[in-house]
Amino acid sequence: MTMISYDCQAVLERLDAYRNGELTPAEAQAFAAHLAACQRCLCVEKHEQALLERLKATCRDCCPEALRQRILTLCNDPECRGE
Amino acid sequence: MASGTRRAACLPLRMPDTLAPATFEDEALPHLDTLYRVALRLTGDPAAAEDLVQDTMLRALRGWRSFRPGSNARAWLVTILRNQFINGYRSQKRAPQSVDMEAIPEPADLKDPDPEGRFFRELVDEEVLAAVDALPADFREVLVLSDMEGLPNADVAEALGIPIGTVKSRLFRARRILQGRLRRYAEETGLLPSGGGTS
Repeated sequence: MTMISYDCQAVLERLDAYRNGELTPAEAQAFAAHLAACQRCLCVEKHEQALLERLKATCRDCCPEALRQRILTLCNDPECRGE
Repeated sequence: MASGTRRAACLPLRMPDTLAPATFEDEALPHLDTLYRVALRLTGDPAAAEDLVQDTMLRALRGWRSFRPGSNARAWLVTILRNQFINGYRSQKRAPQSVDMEAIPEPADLKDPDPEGRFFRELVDEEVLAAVDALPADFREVLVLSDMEGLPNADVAEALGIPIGTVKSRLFRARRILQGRLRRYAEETGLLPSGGGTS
């Protein structure tokens, strides 16, 4: 396996790719090696991860039932379906 | 016998799984919750969000014949929703905001009193949503679709009609602005000691 080395810029550009598992094994290894050695990038990565988890847990409002029913009524209306 | 074998070899080995055309109900209705949440963040108002979703679904229903089976229904619906919003709602509700790039904060540094970012978990939903809603519209829609609704970058790009590179750069800036605002709020409310980090 070819050795890859990432600087801070390269790591910060790949935060999403790393999280989404889009890096090759060699790239992921270089990414992890940089994080292990760089407190600043590790902190950025942790903060971004914490923000993303917070956002995913925020506002899980569902479509109100009355609205869902109105839309189902539209679906059953041949005129709305352009038929 | 031999000719029978030959004929069989010309037939497709397996019939496609979906022979019946996809119905609007099957393809579109599962995305109502996502559409409603996106509409809430775009309009900032539950009643306006309901109107926007209903208009979107009516338009989608009328245009269902133009939907390409097998393509991405969620991205298609979000595109319609956003067009409806731009045409009818944005002007009434929220003026477009410009971004002061100088105001985008730097990420946290070594002096950070909370290197794990634990304070994010302590924030109440209302504050997180207020910070999201305060983002410039272009950044807000990308962040909502990607980070709150979990659409892949390619789907966000398709839904908004922008290149993937633009999705990534807007997402990057949106997260930075959001982190800065939430950090300031955490400092003001005592969740974090003030002035510890750079952002």
